[in-house]
Parts: sequence; C-alpha cells; structure tokens
Amino acid sequence: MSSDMSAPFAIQARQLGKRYVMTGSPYRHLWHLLGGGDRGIQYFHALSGVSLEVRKGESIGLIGQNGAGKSTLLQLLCGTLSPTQGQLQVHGRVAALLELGAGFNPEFTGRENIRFSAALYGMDARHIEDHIQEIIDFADIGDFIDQPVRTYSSGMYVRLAFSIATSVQPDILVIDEALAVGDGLFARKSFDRIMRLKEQGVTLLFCSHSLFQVEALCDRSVWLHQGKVMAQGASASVIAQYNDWLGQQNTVAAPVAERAQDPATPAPAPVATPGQARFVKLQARADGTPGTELQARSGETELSVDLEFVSDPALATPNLAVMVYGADGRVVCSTGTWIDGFTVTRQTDGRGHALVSFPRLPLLKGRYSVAAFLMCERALHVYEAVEHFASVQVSQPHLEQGVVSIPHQWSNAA
Amino acid sequence: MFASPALRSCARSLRYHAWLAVQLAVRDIQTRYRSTRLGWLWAFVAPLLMLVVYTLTFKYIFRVRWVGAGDDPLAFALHLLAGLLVFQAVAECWARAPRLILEQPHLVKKVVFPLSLLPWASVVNVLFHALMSMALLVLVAGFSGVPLRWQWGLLPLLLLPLAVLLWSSSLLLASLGVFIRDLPQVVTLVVGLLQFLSPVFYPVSSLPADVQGLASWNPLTVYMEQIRAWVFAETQPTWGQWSHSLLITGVLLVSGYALFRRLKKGFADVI
Repeated sequence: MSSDMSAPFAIQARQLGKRYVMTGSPYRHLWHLLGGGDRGIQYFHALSGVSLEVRKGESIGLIGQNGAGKSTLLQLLCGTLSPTQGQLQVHGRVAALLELGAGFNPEFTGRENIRFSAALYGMDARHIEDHIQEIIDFADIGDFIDQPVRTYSSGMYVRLAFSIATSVQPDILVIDEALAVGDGLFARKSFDRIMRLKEQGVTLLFCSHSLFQVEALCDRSVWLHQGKVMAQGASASVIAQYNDWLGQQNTVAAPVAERAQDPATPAPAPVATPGQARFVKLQARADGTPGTELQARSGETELSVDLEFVSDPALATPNLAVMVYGADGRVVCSTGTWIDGFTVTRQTDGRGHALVSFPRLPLLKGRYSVAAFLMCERALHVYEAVEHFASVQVSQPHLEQGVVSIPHQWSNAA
Repeated sequence: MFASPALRSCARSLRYHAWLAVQLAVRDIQTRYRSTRLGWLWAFVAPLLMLVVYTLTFKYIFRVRWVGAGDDPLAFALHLLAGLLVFQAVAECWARAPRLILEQPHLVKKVVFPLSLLPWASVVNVLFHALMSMALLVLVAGFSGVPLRWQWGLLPLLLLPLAVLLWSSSLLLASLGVFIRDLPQVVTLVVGLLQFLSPVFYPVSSLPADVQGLASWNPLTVYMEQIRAWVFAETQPTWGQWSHSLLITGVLLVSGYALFRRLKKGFADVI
C-alpha cells in the first residue's frame, strides 16, 4: 500500500466486466473452476467494458437507473466482488458505506464489534485502541455500546457502522445512498464528516439517485446503463445528458396519457393504478418558456410549474408540493397544497392538473433545482417524488446578498 | 517498488493477519463459553472430566491394559488422553471445516475479508483446547507419580506443525465445502474411521510389523506417539516417521492453498 503513494491514481479500471451465475449446480460450477467446460451454467452480465480512472482526492459520482450495475461496480471497487473480465487496480484503503454493519456479530457488544470491524478495515490493534473512544463518541448511542448489538434499534446499528467506516482513515470512501443516516441531527453530522474527509483528500465514490447531491458533491460523474458506461465526464454535463435521456424515456409514456385525455378516444381506462398515484407530466416554465434548464432574472421572472397527475379515483384527492433546492442541496423554499389550503380539482377518471407560480421570483443569484412531490391526502405518504426535474439559473442586476429576497420595507423613524 | 516499504508493508500485513486470526479465535472461544457459569475454565474442566470417566471405565468396566504401561487404570487413561487430545483437535477442526466459508455469506459477499483466516481461527481455537489438555496431562501425570522430565516443556512445540497441518487441510475442506454440499457427511465418516486408524487406543508398537510402516503415513500418528514418548519416556518416533507426516503436511499446504486461490472467485456465485 505505502509504495503506491506516488501513483496519481486511486482507481484504475480497464475494460472491467462482471457476470453473475444465474443458474447451475454448485458441482458444475466447481467443475468449471477446475478447468472444465461451463455447460449448464447461465450467466447474467451485470457490467461489461467499464473503463475508469480516478485520481487521488477526486470525487466521482455514479448515476443510473436501478439495475444499471452501479452496486456491482462499487462492490468490485471495494473488492467484495472480483471482476470476471478486465483489470482493476485500487490503491489505498477502501472504506465502504454499502451495507452498513454487515460484519457485525449480533451476540457481541458494540465495543467488541468496533474492534472487530475496524480490524476488518485493516486497522491495527493499537490504532483501534487510540480511536475507539472517538468512534463511540461519534456514534453517540450512550450505554448501549456495551450491550449486544442485537438489542440495537436499526438507527443505532447504522450510526455505529457509519462511525466505524469513516473513522478508519480511508484513502477511498465508497458511499451508496448512505448519506442520510439516521435521524436529522445524525444525518447532518454524517454529511459534515463526509465533507471533511473529502477536504482531507480522501477519494470519494458516490452513488445516488439524488442527482443534485451528486452534482454538488462530485467533480466527475459516470452514467451507467445496463452495465455499460453511457457517459463520463464533468458532473454537470453527464447529469444533464442523463436527465435528457430520462426525459426521453418519460415522453414515451406521455403520449399515452395525452391520448387518454382526448375526449374522442372512448376512455381506454386512464393509467390510474389501484391504490397508486403518479405524475403524468411535470413542466417548469420561466415567463412561459418551458425547459429543464431555465434562465431567470431575480425579482422579475415568473416561475411556474405544471403538475399533471393521475391517481386511483378511489383514493382521496392527493396533495401536491414543489420544493426548491439550492446548489448545496439545502431546501430553499417549498410549497404544498395542504399548507396553502388549496384543493386540487380531480376529474372522475382520477386525472388532475394543477399549476403553481412564483411571480417576480424572489430567489437571488445562483443555481437552483426544482422537485415535485405527489402525496397522500394527509401529506404523509409520498406517492411519487421527482427530484431535480428542472434547474433554474437565476441572475440578478444588483448586489443583494443571500439566497432569497424576503419582503421588506425601509422607513425613516420619526 | 523499493524493498524496504514493500517489506514493511508485508510485515504489517502479516502482523495484521495474525492479530485478526487471534481476534477471530478469541471470539470463537468466547462464543462457546459466553454466559456459561465456568467460562474459560471449561477448556480445562472438560478434559479433566473425560479423564475421570475413562479412568473409572477402564478400572471397573473394560479392564484393558495399555501395552507396556502396567495395569494402572489412570496410566491407561493418561495414555489415552495423549492420543485423544490430538484426535479431538483434528476431529473438531475437520468437522467444522467444510462449512467454515459456506456459513459466512456476509464475509464472502459484503465485506473485504481474508477468507483464508477463517481456518486459522478454527485452528487456534482447537489448539488452545489441545494446549489445555496437555497441561492437564502433565499435571495429572506429575501427581500420579510419573517422573518429571524436561521434555514436558517441549509439548507445546508440537502444536506448530500440527497448526500447519490443520490449517492446510481445513482450507482445502472449506474451499471444497462451498461447492460440495455432501462434504460434511463424508468428513464425519472419515473422522470416525480415523479414530481407530490412529494410535489413540493402542501404541503403534503393538501393531504387526508390516502395518507399522503404513501407520506413519497417517500424519497424526507421530504427534500421538511423540506426546507419549515425551511424557512417559517411551520410544521416540523415528525421523522417518516424522518426515512422512511433514511430507503430507507439505502436500496439503500446497494443494490446499492452490485450490483455495483457484476456487475463491467462485464463492460469491454459489453462496
């Protein structure tokens, strides 16, 4: 490990491929491994021809739909899977936030599990004893640390596992959707810790469906689709391509919905699924111009969002919400029909179309992302969340500082 | 790559693996004695009870004699313990071996884990119990009037080659066990046979001369004979017998490791 310190790359992958065995008896498999043929074994190709070079200290995002091969790639990089094709070189200690707490023994106490897991990550005994208190403090699970972990709540389990994985001084940190760990406070703490590791020069591999987080966190991104690399490069451009592609996937479905709307067509049962609700169409507009990359002027442009949905008519009319995120992934503002006391009108076939507008957009200079939510009548259950379906680039003619301009008034005191 | 950092990293990796193996073994032993009243003492008490039972059995029921050890039932039981402690270590190790990797899916699939350490943990575990039995053996031997000998202090040395033998064979069985699910049944059968094919209940010298040569190809024979030789000042196994055992150990070491390396990449697919 130490001899590789001069190498500029943390990860080098050439034509990486992974196939899984779908069927085939263990005996056939043994025969094959011993040099025999592979008759009777069926394969599934999860990854093929993936080439990737990650420099030390770089942050790489991994995006793509479920089943695109993201997890397989991460597992290959972590070494828990071995590639069936290609070459892979990983320099440095890898800590993975994939399956938090996978190595825990339920019969042993948290403290014992820390020693054991940390050893699995390659920490030596003295180092573990030096850091064990720090790990315990960060996990913040009180006296439970000396109880068997089978008595832990899932939250405590995850907190301990996260604390261990990020305390072992990794060179490469692999994160699979694990950013929001536990309750709000801990989620914040864990995010801060990941950011600190990033600043310390830890190479970061981040896989998430939250494209905005990927863009905020990662310099470069790789888009995987059906086991192949569709695009890689600067996050903003890869994510834009991915979004365009996602948009195309959606437009394939959209005409179906529009046809259903056509009164001439004898209602070929609208796409409402029993017990379900989903968006049919989402569109953001700046002063009437639709798009996914909107340009707006602070205090002038009217931002509006069209939300079309279809829900099971047997369900109560759903609630709609729109959320605006800042570049750092923080929610800047949000609005919901239940908050504003607005009742969405829904047709008898379960379709609905609502519009929300933000006149004279009070957002200040910056890049923002818009998300839409379709929620139950009590606004508790989320039927569908569409993150980052549009982004808004806001410019401003003046130097007002901040994120948003709230209504205010100056006056001279008498 | 410069020699010194490479060596340092190699040494560090060795130390770390050794530490991890001990950690695993301690955890193994802890699991066994967790929430028992006697705890670790069981490692000592269990063979003691066994010794008592055997002594009583051979005094009142079987009335057999150890060739060349007089008709003292305790002497018989001690001779028996000398062989049994080796046999039990091997039997337990081998009985667990086929399932060692198979039963740890999360170590195979979810974390990066040096799987070759699993047999080490199991070996350290059984050899710890063998060591306790050795201590008991010389303790009871000393109290029962067997003359003290400096060779008693050498007994733990036997555990070193035995460790290599057990690790190699366990790694072999563990790797195959992932694919061959019938292996545990086969191993149980072989271990049952081995109890009678090894000089547990008899000294090799009591066998017909032409079979004695064959017996040394059982790699366990020399360990049992060596313990008795050192404890009771009996005939030493010859260098020839030792070389047979070590040769088999070497073959197992090379084949076990090679097979493990070869089969490793298929583990995740079948577990």
